[in-house]
Amino acid sequence: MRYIEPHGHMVSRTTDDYHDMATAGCQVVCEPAFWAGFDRNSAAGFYDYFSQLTEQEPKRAARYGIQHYSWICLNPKESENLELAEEVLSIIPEFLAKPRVLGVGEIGLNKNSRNELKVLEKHVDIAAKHDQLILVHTPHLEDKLKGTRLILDLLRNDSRISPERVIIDHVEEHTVKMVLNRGFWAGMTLYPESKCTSARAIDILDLFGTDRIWMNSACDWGHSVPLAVPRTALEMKKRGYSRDVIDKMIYRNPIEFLSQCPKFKVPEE
Amino acid sequence: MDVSSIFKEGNACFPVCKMERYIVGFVLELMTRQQVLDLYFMEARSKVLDLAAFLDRVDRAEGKEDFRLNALRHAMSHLQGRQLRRAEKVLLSLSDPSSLPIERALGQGACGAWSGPTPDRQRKKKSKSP
Repeated sequence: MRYIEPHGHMVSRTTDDYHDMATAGCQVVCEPAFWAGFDRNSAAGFYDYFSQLTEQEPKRAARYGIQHYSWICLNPKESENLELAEEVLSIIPEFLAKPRVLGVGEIGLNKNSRNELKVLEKHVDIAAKHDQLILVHTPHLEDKLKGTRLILDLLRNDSRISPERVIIDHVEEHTVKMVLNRGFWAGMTLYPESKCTSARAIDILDLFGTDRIWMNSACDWGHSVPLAVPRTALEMKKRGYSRDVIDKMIYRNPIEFLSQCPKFKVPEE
Repeated sequence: MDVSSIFKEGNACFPVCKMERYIVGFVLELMTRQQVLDLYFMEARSKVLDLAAFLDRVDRAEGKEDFRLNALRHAMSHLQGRQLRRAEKVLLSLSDPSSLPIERALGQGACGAWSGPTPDRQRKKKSKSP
């Protein structure tokens, strides 16, 4: 088996996790900028974090033969402080130019507040001005439906944004249809409790097919499973999916989307 | 997409999935009911038991309940009967249905259920009003 982990917060994981992922066939991991579990107090804190993502983490992954790419942004959970947000937004273009940065992400909404929307709009503007791919985080649990609608409306109202260059992550049964119908890519996050279980993610594939959709573990410092993607591939096999379609879901689909960024290199066979 | 390559040969479609196939516009050959039961029944049984035990645990406990219990009870009502898209309906019933952004995010977390009225509560409220 070969697979790509298109969304993993590896700075929060141990090297044992890299070892296990490499053993399971992981060839590439993509790491969106994320909330640290507490609100950072200064733009300098973000600068260090972005440096860790773009300079240190690729070296750590390379020790296990895994290519590491990242996405840069201010996470929506830290968008309420507009003054700090402006400072952080001003340093993002410097990191977008780094050789292993794929685009702007994971931007989006958390509690669907006015300030979160303002910062999302500014991120989208940066992405458009710098011709970047976009990875969008949709809110958790009871806030997801409303947040997904707000995000899709905002993106559709910006004529500079092409839906096929945007992935809307953390879709579930009540949001996947609106995302795919509007031409965006959809990401399913495989979590033990919230978001999608493996069985439900495969149900969504049963209903909506395997085009413009990928699966990720979004493993971080919380309750999450770094091997969720290969475990779901195993469950797809149990449910009768062919080897070719499994490979499309866990390897070729991520490549199709990520290759829209010229910096992304397909792993050598 | 070559849908025919997805599934094992000889698998019958569920009769109940005809609507699903119509909705998405292509033909799927899903697992048989027997295969689904063989693969997932024990897991579903375990989850139903956990849910039952949770409700017993809540009822044994002292003090007031909050909106989440009512929201969960309402969500469970979608499990009854033979209508499809139960997972989607459960998620919708637990979701904030409003459309305007809130003034300010006061916390980071979500609790899993919307604190507003469930459709049942809304109906009761309307029927009481003159």
